Amino acid sequence: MTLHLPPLVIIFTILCTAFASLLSHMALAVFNDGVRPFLLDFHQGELKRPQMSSIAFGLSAGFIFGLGVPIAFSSSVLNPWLLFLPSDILGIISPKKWLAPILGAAWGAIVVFSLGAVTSAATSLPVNFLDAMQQMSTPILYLFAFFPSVAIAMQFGKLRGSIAAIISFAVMLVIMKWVPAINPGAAAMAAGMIILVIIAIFQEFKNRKEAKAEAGEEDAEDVEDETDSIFAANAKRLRKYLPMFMVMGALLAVLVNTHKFGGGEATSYLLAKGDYANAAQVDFYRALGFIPLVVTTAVASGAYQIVGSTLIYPIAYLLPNPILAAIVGALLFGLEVFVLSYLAKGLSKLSTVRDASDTIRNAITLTLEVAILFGSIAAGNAMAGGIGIAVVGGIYALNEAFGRPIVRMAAGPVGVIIAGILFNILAYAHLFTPLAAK
Amino acid sequence: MLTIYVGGVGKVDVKRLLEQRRSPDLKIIASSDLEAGPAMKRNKDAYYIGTCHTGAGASLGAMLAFMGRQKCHTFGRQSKLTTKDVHSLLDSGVRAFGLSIDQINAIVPVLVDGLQSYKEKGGAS
Repeated sequence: MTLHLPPLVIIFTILCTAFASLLSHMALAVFNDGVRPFLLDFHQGELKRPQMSSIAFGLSAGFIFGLGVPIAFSSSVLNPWLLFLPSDILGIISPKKWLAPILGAAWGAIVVFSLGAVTSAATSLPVNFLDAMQQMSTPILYLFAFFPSVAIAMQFGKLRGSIAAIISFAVMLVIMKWVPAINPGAAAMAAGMIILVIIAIFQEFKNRKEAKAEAGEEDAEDVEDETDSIFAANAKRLRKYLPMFMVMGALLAVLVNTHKFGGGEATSYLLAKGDYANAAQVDFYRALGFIPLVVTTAVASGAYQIVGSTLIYPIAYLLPNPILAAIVGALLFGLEVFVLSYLAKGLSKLSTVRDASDTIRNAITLTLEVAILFGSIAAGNAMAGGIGIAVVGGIYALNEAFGRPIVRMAAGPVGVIIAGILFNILAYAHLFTPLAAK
Repeated sequence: MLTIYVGGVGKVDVKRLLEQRRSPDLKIIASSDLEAGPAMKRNKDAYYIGTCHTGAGASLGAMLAFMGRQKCHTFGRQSKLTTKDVHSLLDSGVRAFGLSIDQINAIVPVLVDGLQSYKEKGGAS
């Protein structure tokens, strides 16, 4: 594990947060999907800057400290919650346009330098919780393989969900036995995802037929006209600023390409272990869960997502060098913004696909919560055996009892960090003997 | 009759939770922000509950564009709510509510209790 972040990472983190903060100041893009819908009133001047600031802060603060910080400090990899939720807020708070990128850059600098410092400190301590966190990637990859089955069960019923789970399991078994070159979890995930896509498309056509059989066409057209007029103006606004988004795409693609920035909740741990191909696969499926949400909120508000459709993550993980990443990133963001209105129009007619996207996000959360909890408890075990399990699991359960101030997914990693600090103090006090490194 | 459209990531959970109440004057429709928005403009007696991870993105989403910000409220990841809070929101004209998916069990029952008691009293508190 490298102790310090390379200069390229430091420079592009600061550039990214600075530019993201500028975009947020201009109400052109925010990372928080919950803040975006409010930007409509903000750029139309009906919502004043102080009110908008308090909305942005209220919706984001919990995710910075309850999700972004624990994932970053337990993986030593940067993530969008840590970088772009604060840049959203700083951009909106900033009273002057020139001040926004300066505040954003300052935040980027604070993050890269403190993350570098914590990482090097952690690796020199008697109990190394960063090494222990390597336990995370196996449960993530193997459990994540079942998220498509969970999504199918949520949307299309128990029977189809069970069948999909059995097929995924069979694929996992076959690959494990006969194709050792491929990761069995990744193959099972792909199989489940294909089944999900087939069922969703099939259902979409079936619904379309039923809807046509029923009357009420007139009513539907009314709704469409109304929707179109609201959305067309917003899509036009975004297209006007196309070059701005292309710059954001280029900067972000370079940062993602360094493999020191993980887009999804689980990807940071896969990147930390050098597992780039699987990280790309995980974030590609995750993108399918976000595209309709990003498109809908973008055309409804006239503001885009700082990280776009999130397709930039899997692409930039795999590109061979930063220069190519910058070019592809710029083109991708340009294309995304350009086709936004067409995508929105298409998606507004595909209700099953939109639902499938929501269930994908829900199923990812559900399976990741299990995987990350298991990985965190395994990390506790690797650090300190039974007492490590007790501390990590205990903190998770307490967080539930407290009404979940920390997002469930991050409660395990928070437990690992607290356990790491605790056992180091105890080791210095000669109350705890560190386990031999495995 | 109280009509509630439910949408967003956790709509199946919210629908199941509300159907367990077996309340005869409660009509639950699984929908989405794009479909419920225009429908709520026509039916002045309908409410919307949306859920997602932030409590505002996929929860409210296009609802803010359809209904206007004044008629939408997000509870975010808030985990405590009283009937009185709900009544004062309803007094101010809010009809679309967003909340975080991991707080469904804490917020939704109180919210719907509030909606029903508000209706029984016949409006303004």
